[in-house]
Amino acid sequence: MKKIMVVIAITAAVAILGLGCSGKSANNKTVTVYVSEDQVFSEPILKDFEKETGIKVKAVYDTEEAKSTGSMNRLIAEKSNPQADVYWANEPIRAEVLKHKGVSAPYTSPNAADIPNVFKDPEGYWTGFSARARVLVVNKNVKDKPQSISAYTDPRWKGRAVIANPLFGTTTSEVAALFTIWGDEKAKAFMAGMKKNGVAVSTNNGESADFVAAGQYDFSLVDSDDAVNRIRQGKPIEMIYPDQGPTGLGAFIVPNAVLLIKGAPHLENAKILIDYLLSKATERKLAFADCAQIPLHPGVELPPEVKPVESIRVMKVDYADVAAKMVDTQPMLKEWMGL
Amino acid sequence: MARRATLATAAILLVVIGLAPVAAMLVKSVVADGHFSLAAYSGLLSSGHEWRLVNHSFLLSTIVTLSATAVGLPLGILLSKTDLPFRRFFTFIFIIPLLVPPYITAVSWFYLLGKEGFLTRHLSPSLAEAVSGRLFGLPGCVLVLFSTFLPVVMLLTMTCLRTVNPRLEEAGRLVAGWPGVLKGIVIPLILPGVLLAAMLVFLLTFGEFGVPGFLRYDVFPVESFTQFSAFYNFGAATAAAVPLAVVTFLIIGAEKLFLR
Repeated sequence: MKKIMVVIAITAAVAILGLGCSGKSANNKTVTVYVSEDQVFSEPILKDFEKETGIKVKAVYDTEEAKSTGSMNRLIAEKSNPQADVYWANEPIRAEVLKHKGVSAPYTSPNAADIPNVFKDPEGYWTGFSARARVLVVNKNVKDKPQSISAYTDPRWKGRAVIANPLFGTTTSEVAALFTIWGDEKAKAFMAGMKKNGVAVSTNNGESADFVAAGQYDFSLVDSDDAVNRIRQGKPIEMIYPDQGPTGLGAFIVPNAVLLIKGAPHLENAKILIDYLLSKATERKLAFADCAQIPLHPGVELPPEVKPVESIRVMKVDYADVAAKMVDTQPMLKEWMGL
Repeated sequence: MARRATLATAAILLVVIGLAPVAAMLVKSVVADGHFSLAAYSGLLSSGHEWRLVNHSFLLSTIVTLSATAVGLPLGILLSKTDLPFRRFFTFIFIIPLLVPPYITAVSWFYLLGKEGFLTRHLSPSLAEAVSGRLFGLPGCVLVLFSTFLPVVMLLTMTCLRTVNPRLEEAGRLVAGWPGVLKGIVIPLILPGVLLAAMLVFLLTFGEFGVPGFLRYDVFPVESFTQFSAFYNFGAATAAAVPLAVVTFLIIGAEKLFLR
């Protein structure tokens, strides 16, 4: 029995020492970042940052299942005692939520000067970079492929379409964006029409793209990275930017967003990391990686699948309005889901 | 002295590791804006949707438990009480589904039975449609979770069988055949273990979230997840988790009562 006590005592001592050490080394040459962008894509960027600046990055990644809600809930819970310096969000709506909850602080990076203003918070609480577009993936065997999200309510596609659960992720943002553009009445009618047309609901965009590739459904609205990496794997799908006509609605653009945490323990390093993420070099890397993200700086070199943002007809939205609208749309969508 | 210290350490560990998160969850769920409030619960209970989800969860868990027990018990007996050739090999094969995350099993079934799956693509389109329609829903969930949790019953049955004293079986054989021995001696002896296995299967199914999510059968844990990650409402999320905890405690209580 005594042995057990000794073991416990030693374990406790080691744990306390360990904590003490990590506390000390955390002081000057480190930066803590919470990351919602997929780890496969974000980790190489952060490793390069470590190599180039000598600042050690402590990164906390979201797992695929918890999908960005892990970091969000953590940041909100730690508000009065911040542990993170920087949050790399995979979309700006979450950045808006954090702004309103008083979790973030303003910082205008010199590197963001030529990123278009629509992709930045006017007060500097977040800055967008490397974007995904919301696109249609269509199975290659489908004739007369849909060119607009209105296909979801078209009887021709009854029971042939799938969409990711609109309560989560970028689908939530896009639905809220439609509400800000169309107004409540038209947007609600669209959602009702979609339901009436027998749309299937998947748990996430990647799953939707896989369903379309497997021929279970004809098309789905997903993120461009879900489409591109499946096309690179040789899956039989095609990517279509929706509503590109001269009077069309345009494709909804979802930039990554980086923000400074209010009360960041390593303020200077946090700013260096934010500047790094907002550089052209980072955008180029994320364009060539399998996430194929669209650079927002003009004049960044591109792989063939990625269209420059200037040549895409972009849905004209104010991300702050979209975030505000989500407060109304979430309960409605919960009902829509029948939950 | 040493005994008391060990006991105290065990108790502290239990409280810290096991009960602290549950307590934190309960406290969070009854506090809103710094005051005591049951709003999270009244919101939960007043909505008919939640009751439908609870019903779904009970239905799914019951069917999976009954079917896994009905097949797992005889399978366990077959694999440990007979001289079936390749018993070890079969035991290994039957354990594999338990080692694979159930979500992966669900996706694999989709690749077999989806509308253009490896098997269904050889059927007529309307039949393929019907098969994939069954996969998405209660039947598909039952199929996947049954195959995942079958080994739990099978393995526990096999372990319990090993503890049965062979002398009792031999004595029984003097007056009855194997069926009689099984019915009169072996099964009553291993029944507590089998019930434990059934209980485990029920609880594991009740808390399962990935498979019903993929196969679109709405169950109760979805509610907690939705509150947490679509609304960032920790209070409502934990309030929604409380019924899960209540069910678990009730079942463990029932087990204690019956297996005394």
